[in-house]
Amino acid sequence: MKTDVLVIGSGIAGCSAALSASDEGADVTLVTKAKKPEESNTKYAQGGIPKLSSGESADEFVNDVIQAGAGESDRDSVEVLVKEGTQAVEKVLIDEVGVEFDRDEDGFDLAREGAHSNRRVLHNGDATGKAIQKALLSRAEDADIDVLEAHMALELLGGEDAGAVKGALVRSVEDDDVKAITAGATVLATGGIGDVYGHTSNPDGTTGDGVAMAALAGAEVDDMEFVQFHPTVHAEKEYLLSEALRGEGALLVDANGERFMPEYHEKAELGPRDVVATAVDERRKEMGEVYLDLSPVFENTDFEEAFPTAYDNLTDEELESQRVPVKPAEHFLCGGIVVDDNGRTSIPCLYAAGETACSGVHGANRLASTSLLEGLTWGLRAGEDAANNLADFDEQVPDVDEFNGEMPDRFCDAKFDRLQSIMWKNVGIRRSEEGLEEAKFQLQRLRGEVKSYARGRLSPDLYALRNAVIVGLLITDAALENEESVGCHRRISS
Amino acid sequence: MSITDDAALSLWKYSDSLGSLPEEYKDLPDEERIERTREAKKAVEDETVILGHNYQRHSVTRHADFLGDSLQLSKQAANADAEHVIFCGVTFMAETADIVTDESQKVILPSMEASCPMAGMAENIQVDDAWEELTSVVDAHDVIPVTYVNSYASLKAFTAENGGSCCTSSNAERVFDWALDEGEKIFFTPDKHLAHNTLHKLGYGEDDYVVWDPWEPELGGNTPEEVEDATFILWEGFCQVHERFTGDDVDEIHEMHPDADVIVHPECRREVVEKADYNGSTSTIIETVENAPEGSKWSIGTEIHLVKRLARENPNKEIFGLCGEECMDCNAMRQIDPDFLLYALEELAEGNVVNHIEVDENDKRLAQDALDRMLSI
Repeated sequence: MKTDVLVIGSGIAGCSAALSASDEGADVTLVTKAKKPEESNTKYAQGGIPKLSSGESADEFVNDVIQAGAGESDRDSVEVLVKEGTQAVEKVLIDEVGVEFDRDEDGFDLAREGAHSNRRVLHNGDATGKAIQKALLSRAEDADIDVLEAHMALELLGGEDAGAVKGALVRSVEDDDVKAITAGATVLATGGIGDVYGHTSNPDGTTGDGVAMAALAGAEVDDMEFVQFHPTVHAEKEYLLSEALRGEGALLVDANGERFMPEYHEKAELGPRDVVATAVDERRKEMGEVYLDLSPVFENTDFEEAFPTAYDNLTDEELESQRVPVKPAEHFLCGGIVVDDNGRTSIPCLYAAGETACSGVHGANRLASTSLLEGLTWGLRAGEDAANNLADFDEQVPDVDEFNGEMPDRFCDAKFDRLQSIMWKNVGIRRSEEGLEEAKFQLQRLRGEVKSYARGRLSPDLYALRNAVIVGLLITDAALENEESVGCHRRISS
Repeated sequence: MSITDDAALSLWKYSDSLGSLPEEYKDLPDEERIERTREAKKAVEDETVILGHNYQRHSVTRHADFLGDSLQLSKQAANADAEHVIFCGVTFMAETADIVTDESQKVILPSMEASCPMAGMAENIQVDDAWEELTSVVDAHDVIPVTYVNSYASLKAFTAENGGSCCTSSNAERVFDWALDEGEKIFFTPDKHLAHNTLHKLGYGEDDYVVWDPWEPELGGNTPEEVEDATFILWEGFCQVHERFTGDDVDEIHEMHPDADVIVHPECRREVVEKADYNGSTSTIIETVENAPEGSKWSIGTEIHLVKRLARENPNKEIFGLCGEECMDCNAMRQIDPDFLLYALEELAEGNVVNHIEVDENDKRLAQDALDRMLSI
């Protein structure tokens, strides 16, 4: 099969890339391993998408991003994020695609999130991602973009010694169908890495496929040690309790009902994520449970109206006590495949956008709600650049033979368990040299085993496992190399 | 089939190292690499011994001091005085070498990703859970764990803790006999095919065993009665190279080459072993082929690089694999490539020990017990 632009991933970054490439006249094929294309990290994003609010200068927003990033962000890229991102939100999301954002009497209702110095976050209830995802996909359908769901990209074609990337080998997750898709440009927009850790705010299936495939093809990857752990995920059910709740007054209390955040940071509950996540983790270890006290939010807002998703998730008991048990969980990878401002990676004809890419904006720690903005901005740019710089490759026909397809059914589950326990224990919120070395040894062993299985087999589960292990190794290596604590990367002595 | 070249790679990029091999060692021209390896080896030869497993590629084995199967090599390691033992094989073999050598000796595994997937099929947590379940249905004293040496040290430790022994493909029958004297049942990990073939050799049959599938929620997928009745409980694990051979492959060879003898490893499926003319460990295979008359024809069911070596060393016989090259290639063994060997040697020449394999103290002690027991049987 041949196409102009192949996009892998159907979240905000993937859809944006697909739409802008299509607008430039390219034939676009979008593949996603999800059974339904709307299943993506984007769908589950709750907080919202920010843009410059009227009356504020770009510098204020830029500085917020850079400060959250502990000074490690690339200033030029951040300016693109803020300025072009704002335009993209207004012209593309609002005008062209028609996403509905909440309004009040004066215009758009802008929320305030942790570490933002102004209210600038657009939202649709507390399920903004869902609204954006739905609208984008609908537009993709109208634009005649070929959407191939339930198909996982297993390998990139070309790359390494072959030079440019020429497309990808994809396989159905439901049957044996395997095909090579030859493309003049390939865009990786595969989202998050939650399954590498197990405790995650991400939906199932986030195994960092893009990062792994790109790294295997020889692309430059960076900032992998900067993994954000969201401080408040429901301790048992693992759904995310949005930052916006703390923005509206929610407080963190320990098992005795006492606040502790003021001890850790001057902004207390509204401090940067890594500070709050570490604090919650420490208190949980010391005292058992930590709770998010929602009573101020009930007081300050019409909870059900402002946070319908969070409200629906509360049990009767939680509604009574007005508090929920929380824990930190893996949330977002700040690093990834290195890209320039046009989404180009270090390999010709390969692009990346969204969480899977390392655009330089997040530095050592992402500012709340900027991931949707990054996905949108870089997605649009990558799609446009790709469509205007298409290579022309002969149709690729790789030699594909499944020698022995049989695998015990839940084989991968056992391996994932092992991977996740190693990662959470040694490469989590706080990392020691000894722990990291141990993790590296275990992961290398695991990787060797998985490589053996993956060869001669085309099972999507196995490739997802392979990808997760590679991502784990990349994070561990980066964490070992960076001996300083900065942003969301915490090194401690053993 | 080229007898000197390594088997060709196919689509999957499984020889990449993602950073664990320094850039300078990649893509060296063959001649340079061979020369530098010889020099580095010479520089450290007084304190170093290089062991190469029978499944290693020619590009690696040409530099080895000794070749053999994992047990032979471990014995070499134990007898060697060398401070550094470079083990060109897979992780569990290097672990075994670490167990049998002195404290002062360091074992180096050129690539840390050379892990045998079969050894990984018996995750410790799974085996512990299985043992707990199993011994809730049958008396722990009646069950003797037997563990194939193709296993991680921690599994050997489990075996010793529960009164069992290790075994190799050569001594499996003897060890099984011993175990059935000690107790009533054998719990065998991790390779089901070796156990299956061995129990048949001892005169048992299809009604005497069950397979324990760790991914099944209860009793490995068996009923309590089935477990109580079975003499052998086989862990659901296998070598995925040997698993690829089928009875059809053997039939085809017999048809197309009626004058050829088929010899296979007992890690192959029962139907393959039954149909083959001979079977045995790699050392048995080597011995059989070497002692065979000139002009004899052999189709060998084991890893391709051993087949190639036998073809090289026995030019007066016709030797080929049981099925195609790609299908007989062990990816784990392949992780030990000549670039990694050179890297390890040159680092050693500069006084740096890289990729050092060290087994946890507790596991080491117990695993040693399990190995000792095997050797005493």
